[in-house]
Amino acid sequence: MTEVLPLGPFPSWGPLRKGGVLDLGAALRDQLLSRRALWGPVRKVLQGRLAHAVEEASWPQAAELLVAWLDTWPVGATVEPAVSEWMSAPSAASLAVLARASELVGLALAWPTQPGTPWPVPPAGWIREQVGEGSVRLLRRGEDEGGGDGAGEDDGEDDGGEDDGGEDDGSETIRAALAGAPEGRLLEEGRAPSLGLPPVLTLTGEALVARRSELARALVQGELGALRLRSPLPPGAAAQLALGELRMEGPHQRAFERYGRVGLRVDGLVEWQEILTEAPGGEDGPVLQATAEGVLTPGTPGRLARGEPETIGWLVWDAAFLPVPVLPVAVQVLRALDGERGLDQVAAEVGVVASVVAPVLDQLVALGAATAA
Amino acid sequence: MTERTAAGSLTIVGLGPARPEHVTLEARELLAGAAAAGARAYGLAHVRSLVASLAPDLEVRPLDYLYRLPGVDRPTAYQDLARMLVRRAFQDGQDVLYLVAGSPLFINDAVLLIRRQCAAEGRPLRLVHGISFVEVVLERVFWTGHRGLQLLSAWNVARDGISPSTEGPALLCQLGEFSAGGEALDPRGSPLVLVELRDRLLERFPAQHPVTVLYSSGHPDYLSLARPLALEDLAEAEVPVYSNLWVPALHGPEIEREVCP
Repeated sequence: MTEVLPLGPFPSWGPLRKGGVLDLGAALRDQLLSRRALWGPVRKVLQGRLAHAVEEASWPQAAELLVAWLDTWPVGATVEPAVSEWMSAPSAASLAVLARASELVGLALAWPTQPGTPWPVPPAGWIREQVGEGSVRLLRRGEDEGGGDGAGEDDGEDDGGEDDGGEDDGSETIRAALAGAPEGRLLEEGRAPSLGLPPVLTLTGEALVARRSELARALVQGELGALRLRSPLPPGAAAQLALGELRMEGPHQRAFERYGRVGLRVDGLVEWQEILTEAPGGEDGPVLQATAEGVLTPGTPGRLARGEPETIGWLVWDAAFLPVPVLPVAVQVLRALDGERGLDQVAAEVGVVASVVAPVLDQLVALGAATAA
Repeated sequence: MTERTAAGSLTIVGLGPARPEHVTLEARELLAGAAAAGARAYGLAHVRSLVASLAPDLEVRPLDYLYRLPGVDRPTAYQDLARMLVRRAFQDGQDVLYLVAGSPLFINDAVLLIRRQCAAEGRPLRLVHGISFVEVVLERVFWTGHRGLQLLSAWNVARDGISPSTEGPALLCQLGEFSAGGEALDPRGSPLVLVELRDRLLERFPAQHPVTVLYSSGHPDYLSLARPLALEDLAEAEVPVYSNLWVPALHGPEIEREVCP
């Protein structure tokens, strides 16, 4: 009998195995959200799909794939520190990195995502492979774990559940995967240990407006972690103002809306683009070495989206720095920097006169792609 | 969910125009002890950056969302903000600090609404004064005080039929304000209202009447700057949102037409 924890909430922050229990969410996290995966198969698949999209003149898709492919550098550089942080001291920034990593993986693997989130849903084969042979006992996430907030008292509008919030913990996916196994394995079910997440209240858009004061007080006093709307907000200023207050007062609310239950572990919301910064400039010198990688692409996202491909170079780093578009010659020059060649040797290597290479080197230093050897 | 009825408090704190040295001692002491006292502070982005340097431990909850809500105009947003802060303090029992730039008593609709609501409901309200923008912008002109000073909203003059008297100098504030919605922080829209303001002023002042745009250099120095021009040229260039227009009296002291270097 294999005891397993479900896939959600994903990314798991627990160990792969604890007390003989396999955490499927942790297995998914460890296999997908790694530097090795992002810099290896994910980048390779995205590159192939990008080339195919350009061949097929699928320009919007090509533009999306180019951004994703370029992101494999900074995401791959930051994903493992982010996983460590996520498991020990979660932050909104670490969650943003994991979310972008999941988007890249999902794009490469073409796996579906949990509705409204970036988190991938693995295929049945992956699940069967993880649990191995024999029967399985699935430890489902409880709907009332972590203590109630008294919300269930309220005319049936609330789910009253701690971190269920109407969100699937992936159990159905697991059940379907194992039921479809050749041997038709029979599942047992149990209850997983509490995650200790703050409670979520599910209610209608109309109820959110009508109960604004009470809900804001509960968020302020920490009695509620977040609110989930089961129907759209009604039109009008009152609804916008109510939602605005509740998002402002609920420290987890915006992350919960963006990322699901895992958003309850962090305060505030950080998007991936906010994490990237410009690379610091390098130091000039007679002999330079590369501190970035230069890659050639079929364009910029904007040009690709307009269906106007052209060869463009990009500077990418093994760090959370913004990729920088450059002329293709800059990529050639960067690749010639081996920490031993001076200007003339670099020019000879590239096959361009030194007077052309010199300003390119200056720019590469200024952009932080090269520095004194 | 539990009801909380314990009495809280509501304090409006003026933090001055922008520079930390303009924050009063009273405000500094209040901010210094606020985090330890469990106060719940609210403010806009420019206030948050100032507080970050004065009281790094104090979290200031962002009110910027009020300017970005679809279909919500500013008067409605200010009314809602006033009600929300009063509720947070006196129904939810929180010690609320509402942090505002400048003086709370100068051109601040939300503060006005809070004061009225507290007065009507018999709620205690503490006001911590701050230096207003007026002190700072007057640095670049020579105001004598002999003919008084008219403090008017440029918006009100341009669009609401308010006319400054020609007998005394006028300071028209929030010169770059061009919309009742939330998009007015983009200075590119300011010529829209400047055209209307110019035309309104030309009804009472000659085209060559000297006026001065008074504004700040912004972060980090917040220097007072002046751009003198003839009234007829007022709409030729955009101005920052939080700039002001100095309009000397028609027949006032000559010195009030000069710009202080």
